[in-house]
Amino acid sequence: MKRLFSLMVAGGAALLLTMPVLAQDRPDLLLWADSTRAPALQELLAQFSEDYGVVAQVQEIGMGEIRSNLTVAGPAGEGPDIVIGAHDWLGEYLQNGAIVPIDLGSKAADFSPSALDLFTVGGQLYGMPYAVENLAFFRNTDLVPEAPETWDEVFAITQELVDSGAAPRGWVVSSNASYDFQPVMSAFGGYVFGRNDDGSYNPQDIGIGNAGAVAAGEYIDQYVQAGYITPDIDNDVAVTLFGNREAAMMMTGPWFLNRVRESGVPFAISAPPAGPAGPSMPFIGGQGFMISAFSQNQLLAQAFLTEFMATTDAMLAMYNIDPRPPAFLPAVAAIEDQDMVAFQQAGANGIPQPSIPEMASVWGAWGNALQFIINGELTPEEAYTQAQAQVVELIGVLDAAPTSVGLVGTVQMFFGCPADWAPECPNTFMVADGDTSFSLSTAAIPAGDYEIKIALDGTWDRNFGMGGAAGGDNIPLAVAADGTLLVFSFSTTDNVLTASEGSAALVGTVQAALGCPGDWQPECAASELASNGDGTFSLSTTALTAGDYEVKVALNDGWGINYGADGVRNGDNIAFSVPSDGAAVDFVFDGTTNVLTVNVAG
Amino acid sequence: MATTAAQAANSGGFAAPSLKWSTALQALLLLLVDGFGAFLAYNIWQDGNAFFAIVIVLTLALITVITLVPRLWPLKWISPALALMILLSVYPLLYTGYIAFTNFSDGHRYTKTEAVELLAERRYLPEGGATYAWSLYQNAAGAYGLWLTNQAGESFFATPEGMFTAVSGEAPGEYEGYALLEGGARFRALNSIEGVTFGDAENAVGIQSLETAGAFEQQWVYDAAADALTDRATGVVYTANNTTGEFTAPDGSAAPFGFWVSVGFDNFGRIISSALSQGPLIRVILWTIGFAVIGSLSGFALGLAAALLLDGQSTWLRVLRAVMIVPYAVPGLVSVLVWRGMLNANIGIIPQTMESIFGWAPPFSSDPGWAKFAILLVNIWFSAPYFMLIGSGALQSISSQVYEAAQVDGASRWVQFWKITLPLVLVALGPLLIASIIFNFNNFFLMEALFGGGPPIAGTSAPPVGHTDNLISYTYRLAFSAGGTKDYGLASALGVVIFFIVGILTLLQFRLTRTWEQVSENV
Repeated sequence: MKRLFSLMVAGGAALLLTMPVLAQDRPDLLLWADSTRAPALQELLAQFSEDYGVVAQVQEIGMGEIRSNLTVAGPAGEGPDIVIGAHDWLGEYLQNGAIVPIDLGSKAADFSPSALDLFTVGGQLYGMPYAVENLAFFRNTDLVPEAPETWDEVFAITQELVDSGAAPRGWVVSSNASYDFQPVMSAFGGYVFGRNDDGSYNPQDIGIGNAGAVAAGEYIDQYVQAGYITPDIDNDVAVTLFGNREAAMMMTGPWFLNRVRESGVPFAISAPPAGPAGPSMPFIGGQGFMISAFSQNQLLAQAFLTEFMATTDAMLAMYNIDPRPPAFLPAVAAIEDQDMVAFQQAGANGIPQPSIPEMASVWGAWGNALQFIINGELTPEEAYTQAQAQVVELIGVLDAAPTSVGLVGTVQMFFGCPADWAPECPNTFMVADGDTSFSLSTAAIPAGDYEIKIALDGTWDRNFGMGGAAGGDNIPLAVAADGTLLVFSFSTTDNVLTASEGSAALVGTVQAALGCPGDWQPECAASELASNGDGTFSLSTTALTAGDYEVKVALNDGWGINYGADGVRNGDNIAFSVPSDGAAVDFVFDGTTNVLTVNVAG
Repeated sequence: MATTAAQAANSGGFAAPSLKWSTALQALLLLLVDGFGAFLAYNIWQDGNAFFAIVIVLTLALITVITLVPRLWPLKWISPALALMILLSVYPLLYTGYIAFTNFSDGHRYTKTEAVELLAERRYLPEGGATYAWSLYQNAAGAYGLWLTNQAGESFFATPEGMFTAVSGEAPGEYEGYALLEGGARFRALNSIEGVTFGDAENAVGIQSLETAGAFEQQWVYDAAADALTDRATGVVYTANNTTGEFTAPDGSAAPFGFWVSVGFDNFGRIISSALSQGPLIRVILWTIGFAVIGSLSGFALGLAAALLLDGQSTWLRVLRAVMIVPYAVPGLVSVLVWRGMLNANIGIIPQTMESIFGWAPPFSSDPGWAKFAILLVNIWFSAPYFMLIGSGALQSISSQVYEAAQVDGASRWVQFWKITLPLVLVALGPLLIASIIFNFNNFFLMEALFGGGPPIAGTSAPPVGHTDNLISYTYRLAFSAGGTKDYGLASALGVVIFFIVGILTLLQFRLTRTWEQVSENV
């Protein structure tokens, strides 16, 4: 019996242990936060629960898991309503439709506009920022009393300090820096991604291998050659060196501020120095709250954020547990820490750290490049050219020579394609008329409104729309009258597709007789064909003397588009004979088939 | 949880089946285990993971059969382990194999149903649709009402029951039995009114945000017959492409996200084509095998040497043995980070000490050869104590008579070691050595934590690879850095490839073990 009893106890205990798991109700509002911020939120949520009678809880989960598990737990109905994360997760989250826009309403005015920008994609705000952060320039004020204005000054100071023996090192930088290299690289004219007109990043425009980036690499190489910067420095080591007074200058962010303070070194924070291309532009990152698209409690989540979190007390509680410059302006005003103010000033010229998913392809290659320079394995030019090539390959940038350049859109059927929007249709493949320019002409499109784009390689993988934007909007095309001779041209340098009305002219050995200065001159106006308004163009003459002639048709006064026998682009010359002087000769060019017909009377 | 309960059921010692009450209790416990398992399986099924639910049900069935069929009783004792193995090893293995044949990745994270459901939740405001500021009301019966004010300043009162009446003035504290909800009361009501439509047929109003309500409508509508999504805001129809897992419009643009589909052997094709185009892959494979073999053997050799040296019963030897086990007891990540600091060329104690004594220190993190050496060194720190621990036990199991016989035959200590100690120790440690080699073959943690795979190899194409990257860390870079998307399908396919490589190595090594077993039979 004793045994039975103990077994029953064991079974009962097992059940009791599992019951709470089964019985646990989902709180009205669930947050996911990492171990740094969860304690502050725990207190805030307890307060919130008490004030509003809503059950709100925070689950402590590692940063990486918050990022990757939202799309796993969400569809199963077990995800949070709100996550706390960095703004550069937006790309991945939006790719998976995992978060929803937030309407801050009247509270929006209380946030720093640049912080809101970080969480804004396509005009929609996807997070409520609470902190912004960026690198700033630290100097040991004993060794470097005045903040250097330029990177050249930084090098000169380093040289002086080391040569005079005042310090073993001057300025130090992490040897596989990417994020830390951004201020230097931007000051010399390098960039990671170019920006579109609306400020968003264009992943097709990569500037890691440009002259500016190489110049920045050469700048660092001076330190390497002189032995001022050695391999195997990471952010941790840089702060340690600064704290040991072994290094006089470095860049770091608010996350290491406490360590620098604890080291007891007299320091000052200033903006990263400027370079030949202008001021340093450190990346600005943001931390904020995002609302899960899987949440069934999105309204409550919004209410919690805008009415409870967006208050000075709550924001200061977040600041106190994890001091980074707040994004909430009333909280900024309440903070007296001058170092935080200095950080914000250092970020004045900063640019948002790209949150597009392609950024994940950049870090490794970009950081390795500096490591190659500091390890002395590659020259700056080799290092950044290689990094550029690797990033280009990882992102699949569209700069490889296309196998075909196809005009796609609602005009394709007029070219004899089986369907519109068919990138594989060879009838609308453009023909090269230069190294980087492609063109196509037709007179077959009736009057009306159309939409066009360019698709390379016969697939949609690389397509360009408005303004040459990759995957951009369709380009509207208005055809005013039937039979208009349309010339489509595309340049692979800027990926811009244009359509315009073209002119057709006769070129060949007839031109001198038609009043041109010479033969084979496409730019001569005297041999231009006149439109008949039905897609054909003609010219009649009696000015030719008896003899053999050769002609072609050239469009737009140049050789770029020219048609020969049988309407073949760049085809053979069309030969004809005039039997007698002054015989009537009619030239008719069909803008749809591109065939030039020569009718000789008699 | 199922297995915890199963263990409880099976560890109680129901060896005597003659007692009726014990059979009854056993049946009861089995019922509890099955009941709980079924509950778990049902929940997981509801969460949309049918595959895992099936595996749980099959595992439960296995446990039930083992418990109920008397002939299978011997298996009862290993059934908890069996269940754990199925759920924690076999299932993930099968699942990984399954994912390897899909395009599961960012942008293709959901099933088609999940993707359609997620998109169906998006709302848009049709052109000319009215928007209102809203205040929330509730009557004594608990029904909700909204006081709506549009931009023109006109106000309405709307209820979910179809009421939409023009009213005037500011939102009052009470309106026809409905009381204005404010503060906590309003907050508590928010979850109840989310997704609820207020007003009549012509004026259907939903709450979009705290500040705005309006005639919002479902933006993405899925037509199952046409297998297409319509974006009602633009009118564009996106047809499902079930080979690529995307909804595509005629102009080639795609819906905000796609779904995951089976892509056959595509991922394996990509591995082969990238393997062929990647020079460093050969280097990576060589280092993977080299590290697994040298790393394990060096740990084994040093561990065994330590065991031999410290073999004995004196207190000092015991203390020394205990000290030697410490590295094994310290969490790995902590040790690696400490080593990382100690090896750092600028602040590390090892290079700095060498610098001051010899005037030179090896560039551990920046030179490929030294980096590999450092990794092997740190690996010894992890593996030698383990082998010392096991080796000490194995040494004690060798009968002293064997040594006495050898001494009589005039064998030296050296010969005794090679002819007696090592072969006999290998019988016990051989399988563990193999396990260690397999573990080190997939040792992602040491490679990533010590030097992050660095120093990088110059002159490679993408993805960037380091000199100390092994297959598994290379997989990680390949699958999670290209194109900015996490490609779980590709990662799984690589996992499957590595599984087969490890499998082949294991088979080869089992052959070796058999020869060791023969040794023990001959002694």
